[in-house]
Amino acid sequence: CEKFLEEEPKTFLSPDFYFQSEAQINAAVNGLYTFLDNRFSGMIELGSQTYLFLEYLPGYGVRPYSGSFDALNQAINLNIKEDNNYIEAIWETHYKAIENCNSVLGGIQGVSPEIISDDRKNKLWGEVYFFRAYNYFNLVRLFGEVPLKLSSTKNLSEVEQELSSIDAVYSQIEKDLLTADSLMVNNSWASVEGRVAKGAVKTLLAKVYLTMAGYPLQKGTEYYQKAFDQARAVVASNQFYLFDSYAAQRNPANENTGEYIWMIQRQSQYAGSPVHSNMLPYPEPEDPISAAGAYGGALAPAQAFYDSYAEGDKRTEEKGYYYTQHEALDDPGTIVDLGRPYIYKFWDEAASVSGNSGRNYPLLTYADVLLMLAESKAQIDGGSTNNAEAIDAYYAVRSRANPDEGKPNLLSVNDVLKERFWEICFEGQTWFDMLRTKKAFNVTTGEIINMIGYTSPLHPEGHPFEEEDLLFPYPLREKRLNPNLTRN
Amino acid sequence: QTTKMDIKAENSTLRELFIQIEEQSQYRFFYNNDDVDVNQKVSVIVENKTIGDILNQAFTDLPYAFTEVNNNLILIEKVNKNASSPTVVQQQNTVTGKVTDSSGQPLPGVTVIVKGTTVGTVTNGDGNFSLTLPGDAEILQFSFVGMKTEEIVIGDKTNFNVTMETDAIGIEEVVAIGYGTITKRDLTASVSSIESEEIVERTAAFNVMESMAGKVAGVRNVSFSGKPGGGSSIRIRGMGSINADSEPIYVMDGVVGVDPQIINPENVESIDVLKDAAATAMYGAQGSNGVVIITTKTGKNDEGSVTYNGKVGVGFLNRKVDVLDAEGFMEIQKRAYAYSGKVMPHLQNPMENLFYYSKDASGNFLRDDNGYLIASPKYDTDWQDAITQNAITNNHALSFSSGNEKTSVYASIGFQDYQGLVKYTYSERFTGTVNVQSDIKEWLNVQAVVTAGSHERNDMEGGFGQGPVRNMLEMPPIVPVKYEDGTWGRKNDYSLGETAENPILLLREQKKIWDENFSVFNLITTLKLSENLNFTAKGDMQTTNARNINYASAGLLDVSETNNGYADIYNQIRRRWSNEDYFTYSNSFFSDLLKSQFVLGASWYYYRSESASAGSEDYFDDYFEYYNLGAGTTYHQPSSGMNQNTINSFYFRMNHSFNDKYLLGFTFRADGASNFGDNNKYGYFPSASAAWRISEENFFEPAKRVVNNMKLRVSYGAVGNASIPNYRTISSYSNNTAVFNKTLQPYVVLGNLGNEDLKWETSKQLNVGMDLGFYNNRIELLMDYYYKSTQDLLFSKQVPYLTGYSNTWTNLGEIVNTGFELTLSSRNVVQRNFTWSTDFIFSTNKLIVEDINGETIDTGNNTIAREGEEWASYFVFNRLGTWGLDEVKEAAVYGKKPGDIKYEDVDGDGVINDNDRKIMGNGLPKGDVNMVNTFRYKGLSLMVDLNYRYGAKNMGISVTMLENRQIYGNSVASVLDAWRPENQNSMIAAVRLPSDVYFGENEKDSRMLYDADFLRIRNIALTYNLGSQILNKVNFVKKLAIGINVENAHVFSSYPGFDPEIGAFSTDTGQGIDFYSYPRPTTVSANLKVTF
Repeated sequence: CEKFLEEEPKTFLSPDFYFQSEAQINAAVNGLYTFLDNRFSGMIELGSQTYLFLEYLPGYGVRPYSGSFDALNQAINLNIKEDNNYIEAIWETHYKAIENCNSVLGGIQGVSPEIISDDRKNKLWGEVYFFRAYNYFNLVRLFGEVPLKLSSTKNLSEVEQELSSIDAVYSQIEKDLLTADSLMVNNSWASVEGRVAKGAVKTLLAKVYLTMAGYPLQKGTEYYQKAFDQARAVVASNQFYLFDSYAAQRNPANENTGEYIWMIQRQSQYAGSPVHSNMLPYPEPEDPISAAGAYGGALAPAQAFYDSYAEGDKRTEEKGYYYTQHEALDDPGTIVDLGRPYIYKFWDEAASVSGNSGRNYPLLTYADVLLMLAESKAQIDGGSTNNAEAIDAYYAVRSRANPDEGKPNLLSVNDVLKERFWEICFEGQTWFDMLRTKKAFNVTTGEIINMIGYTSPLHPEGHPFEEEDLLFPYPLREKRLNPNLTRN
Repeated sequence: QTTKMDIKAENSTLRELFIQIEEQSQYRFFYNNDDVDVNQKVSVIVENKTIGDILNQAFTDLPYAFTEVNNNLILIEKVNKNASSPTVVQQQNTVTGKVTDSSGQPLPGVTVIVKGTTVGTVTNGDGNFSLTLPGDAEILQFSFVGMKTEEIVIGDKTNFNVTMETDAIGIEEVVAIGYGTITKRDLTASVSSIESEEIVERTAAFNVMESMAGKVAGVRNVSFSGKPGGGSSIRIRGMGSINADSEPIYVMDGVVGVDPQIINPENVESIDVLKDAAATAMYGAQGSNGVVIITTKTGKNDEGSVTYNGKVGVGFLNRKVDVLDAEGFMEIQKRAYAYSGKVMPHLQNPMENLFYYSKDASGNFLRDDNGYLIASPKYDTDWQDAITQNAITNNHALSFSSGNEKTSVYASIGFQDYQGLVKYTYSERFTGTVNVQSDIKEWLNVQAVVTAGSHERNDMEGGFGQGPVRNMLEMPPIVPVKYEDGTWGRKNDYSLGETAENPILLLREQKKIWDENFSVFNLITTLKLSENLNFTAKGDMQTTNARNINYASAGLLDVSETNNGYADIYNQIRRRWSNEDYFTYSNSFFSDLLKSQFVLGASWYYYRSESASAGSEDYFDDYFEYYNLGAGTTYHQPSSGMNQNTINSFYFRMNHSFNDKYLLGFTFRADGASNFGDNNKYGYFPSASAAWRISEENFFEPAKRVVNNMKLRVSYGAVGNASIPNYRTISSYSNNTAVFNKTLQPYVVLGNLGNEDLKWETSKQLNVGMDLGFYNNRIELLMDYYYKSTQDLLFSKQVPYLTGYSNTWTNLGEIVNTGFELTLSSRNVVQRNFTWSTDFIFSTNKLIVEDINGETIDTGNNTIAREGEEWASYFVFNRLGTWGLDEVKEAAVYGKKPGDIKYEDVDGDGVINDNDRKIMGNGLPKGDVNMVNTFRYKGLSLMVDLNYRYGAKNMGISVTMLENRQIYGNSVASVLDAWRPENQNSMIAAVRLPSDVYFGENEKDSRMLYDADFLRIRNIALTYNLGSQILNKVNFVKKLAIGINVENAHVFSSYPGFDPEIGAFSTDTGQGIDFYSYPRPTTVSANLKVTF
């Protein structure tokens, strides 16, 4: 009878009997990448993917399609409640990714060289450390103090974990990234496959240091120096370069190369991207311009932000980063006027015909590295710098957009920040830049100003950023399950 | 024949005598006018005499004999009679005798007839009879209501002492209790039974679960929706479990775990519902939610019959939601734009597709003083009418029955075709069954039952996104179904409307088909090893091939706009077999003082399902629908799966009856299930029960004239529940493919965290009951009280995400269901031509969370579980109303302004957050009352079935959203009462545009909670049975009945949604939650039943 009652699940593998082959280890590490996909999973509303939530917070993009989804409107209205679906989803995804990191770290540890070579193992191991750091980095920036959990869950009695200080979380992030860096020392800088390579590790390190130097830890110069060093290392590798045109950014052949240090991997059939269709005009023009139609209007630049670019800036040229008109899908001879600027940065030519986009989405870019290099140096030098390396880095980005503009002799932090607003817009970076600098870009005056007290174009009039808008509330579900999640 | 009458017929005609008798009793007289002269005078003056005494006296000088044929029908026939003897016969062979019951008491009024003739008599007050036999007399037949008919060979005997045994009527009725039957008299447990006539009473019922509604105390029909072909389910004595299944287990002819949907109610002989632990413990681990034992029809030992039962009906939407018409819709739009300081777009730029505009003679638009256009809506569409249809229902069954002493056959075929209330939805079911039974040898009986059929339904339930049921309420009335040019109207045709496809187009072009082919094969062999010992070996095999098809043609907004249509087919094969082997031993001891019955057996259950799915999109032509997946140019990822579980059980039961007064029962079952941890595979479930038939005691004798039956029952026992998904004790990875530079690579991520300690959920139930019969069971009363504590609840507990998991299965805490059940059956009026009977059923249930480790568990949809509170209590903000113009300051504390919603700040900290939620009722009714009144006048009968339910609150998400989110679609009419400066005392926030911060606050708050009490006229049935006099003339028709039936005739309720009896998400915690549920039709049907 005992035999009769045995269970033999054939449809899944169990972690209790795993890490028995290189293929298994590989599959477990591959799993870490899939948590990035969650920012493309939508809620019940059209154009409600999680990544958009982070674009509404800074308020330089608007939502032409006015949805009825309260959780999304909370970001638009800067009125985020603890039962907001997005903050729960963000918390969930990141901690699940971290648990998978912890589990793989534990699993890989004792694996014998007969199963996997040390080189291969170190490479994969490095990826896991990177992912744990990456996920904690997002969490600590969005939520502040969070529980730091570094070993895999064995027993569910240990659920009520306490909050760790922001400092402690950053220390762990730094430690994990340095471990990843040393494990990947023999690794290549870039990965055409789209995996995490040394370039991504160092770029993230630069970003972590830059953030630690700023708010909320304000560790200052020492950390600007560390950020500067890491950014320089990436530049010095000579593995990355800016494309010479914005059209080249959209060329599918250029994915995972050039300025794309690390991207979310998409594929039109099995892992589509909603970005192309999210950013289509709304309402859909009478003459459609893309087969992906009808889902558009999730994000467009605020007119004032669009207008803030310098005259002649190539990013605001038609089909630079934006467009205001487009050929009709069925008749390229007909030019459809869209009535306002929309984002062209993520336009997918193939998707405009097939309806399905498989375009990768940038997570870490070389332009970001160059501007981090310039910003950190300007900070080290007391707010502005005449350092040639820093100015060259800045100018590489600036002159691509404004080729007629001369190279400056002196570069201020605010110059770099402004360029970040313009260059790395709508890529999920702006909000984090604002959090670490507590600066905003005043679209009317064209100046970098204090974030607190400023009302972005998207947000309701008379509702400027306040100190309490800078952190998400802990998700209600988690608070109920873990009473330690309280903020003073 | 124990009815005693007082007759005063002095020099009356026979007819007058008969009428007197008929008025006082259920007897009816039947005679041939040519033979019997009812105008003959008789004189009978008696008190407290039986029919036998009365007629014997009346016929003393008349040439008539009487026989009770059946059912109180007295046949009067002419006989050649001398003054001295009651009958004239060919040979003067007189026999005498005495009839007694099993306890030796004389039985008066027993009909004694010579079999095959009409010669007979009735025993007198002392149970004695005397009868003169015709020459060819061979067998004497003794019949008496409530007793088994006895047949005795006459032979040479002239004196007969006959003991009659009680028969299966009333308390002697046999009920199925699993692995055997027992008489109601000997029953110690709580079991309720329904007979076949009651099961088919409600002609619009889809399945046996609906047929059972309101027929059994403590059994509640849980309707999740009114969609065709399903959505119903039952709960016995509340919700026994939290996350593990709360469905009872269905046992059909001994086959454990049958899907009740496949059973044609037409084929059901009886349903017995086992409720307390004493009854359900025999099913051990599968019994904790109660057991429904279904016995199907077998062939009758008669000359054979063919029965056709047909029902044709039409269903319609009888209860609409009060939504705005075009005028109201525009009024709300006007207010919203005005509040937000904007002008309605159609007054700025003409929208001639939707509005008529005032123009001057030359066709120029006229403008008012403010420079705005002058417009009025072109259309005023009633979308509830547009989307629903008169749903035709067809239900036909043909059955054949035949048998002789050794073998019987029953066969039937049934067809049920129900259109849904919502256009294009339907349910279609075919069933066929054959039930053959034969005594192959003296020691061997074999029964084979085969049921097979198919069930297909297309239901577009659920309005999660923008489904048709949702949009039948939310489509703006100013939009037409179709414009003059043939284009379909859409929700967003007027400014700010949500994006949604035309709901009728969606219904036409989208299919969600559930399709099943099923078969059950069941073979039961019973070996008679000795007089007292039987061995039964039973094997059954159930197979189901299920398909789930999702299809959409190209170009549906929001559905298939970018993929040119899609089709997905999910296939699943389910196999279930089981083997049961058990011994049954019954005997009596101590000279019949103790009667005992024993059952000992073992069983093995095996279940396996395998599934696969495939699909594609981007079709160049809609022609293919879902019949040619290869025609799509983009393939969906295929998938497949497997699931298997097994149970192995051993069981024992004994029942003892001592002196027919003291009854004792004991059961024990051990169950091993594959889905539990290695150390906890087996669970042990004992139960004990006792009953005392107080009415059989000597001291009770004086009361017996009034209370003829009184039994006290007590039982206690433990039952288990193992209905959780498989493989929960094993940690798992989920796997799929990840993309790296456009190529796919395998990946795994942590899935389920296995819990090796997972074990049975156990319900311990105490039941105290009393059965009462008054005036010879003219009034029967059954009462039960139960206390059912479920411990080690199988619970998928939420864990913090930082563990890396969302939920884990665990055994946790305790919930307690308590309730009271009362069943009252009364034959109020019993007369020759008119009867009136009432069945009244009342049950209450309360489910309290006793222990959940002090935690607060989120049970979904803003309901929680907390110790000491009722399960799944609504946990919401309390909406007090709206802020008034004189409360600017107070409102500002919460960032609000006059016209915004005002919530109760429970903790008074000036912030509305989670701490301000309150428990405010729940969706489970406190009590349920069912009353069926049946009136019969001659062949005509009228049944009225009423259901009253109270104590539940509905969370009307749909209705409240229709009030909150005004501008995105149509609203309920109550929105007209929204806050305005001149109407500040309102629960509804000022109507505004979505650009306002507090537009359409979607908090689940107390405004969403509605009183869900209702009184439903569940069924009215009017039936006419053609009398046998008429049918005798058409001698090949045995029975003919025609009827009209109104299902769900009317609901009295203040609930503003379609139906107060509702449930969303097909889960227990979704009970009472209304989220665009499929409305329930009112169905009028005609019924014809004819037996040849």
